[in-house]
Amino acid sequence: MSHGDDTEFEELNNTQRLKAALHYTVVQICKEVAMNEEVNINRQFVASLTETTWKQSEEFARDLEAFAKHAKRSTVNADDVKMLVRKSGSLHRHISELHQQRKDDKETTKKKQKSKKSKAPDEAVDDDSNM
Amino acid sequence: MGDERTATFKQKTVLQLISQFFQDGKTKMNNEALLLVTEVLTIFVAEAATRAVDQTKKEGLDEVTIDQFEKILPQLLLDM
Repeated sequence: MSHGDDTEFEELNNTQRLKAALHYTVVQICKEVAMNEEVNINRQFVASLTETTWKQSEEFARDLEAFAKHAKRSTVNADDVKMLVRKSGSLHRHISELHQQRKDDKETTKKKQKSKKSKAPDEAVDDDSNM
Repeated sequence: MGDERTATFKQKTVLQLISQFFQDGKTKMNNEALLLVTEVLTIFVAEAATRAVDQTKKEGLDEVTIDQFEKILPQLLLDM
C-alpha cells in the first residue's frame, strides 16, 4: 500500500504548486490595481485573496460541470461560462463580447485560409481573380 | 479598466485548477470555455483588489489589510 502514499504525496505537491502559481498572479494583479493608488496592499490580504480565489474556482468548477451535464454534454463550453456569470450584468456583457470577438477572429482566419487555398497558383496576382 | 490590465492567469494554470475540482473524471473543458473562465477569474481578483482599495481609502487609511477584505467580501461573493 506504499503506492497509495506516493500518489497522495504527489497530489499534495501538485496542489501546492497550483496554489503557488495562483498566488503569483494574484500578487501581480494586486500590484497593478494598487499602482496608481496611494495605498499599499499587505501580504495577508493577498494571501487571503488567493485562498478565496481557490475556493471560488471550486464553486465555478462545480457549477460549470453541472451546467454541462444538464445540457447532456461532458465538455464544458463557452455557453456554460456565460451561464456562470449570468447574474452580473456587466460581467456577462463583457464575457459575451469577448466570446463574440473570439468567434469573429476565428472566422476571419478561416476565410483567409480558404481564399489562399482557392486562389489558383497561375493567377495569384489579382485578389478577386475568381470572380 | 480592461485595457490597462496586463497581468492575467496562465490558461494552463486555470485548466489544472478548474479540472481538479470536477467530480466526474470524464468532464472536460474546451478552449473557448478556458479562455472565458480565465477572464472571469482575472476579473474576480482585480475586482476584489479594487473594492478593498476603495474601502481602505474610504476609511482614510493607507494599507489594505484583511480587515478591509472582510468588509468587501460578502458583497463581492453575492455579485458573482
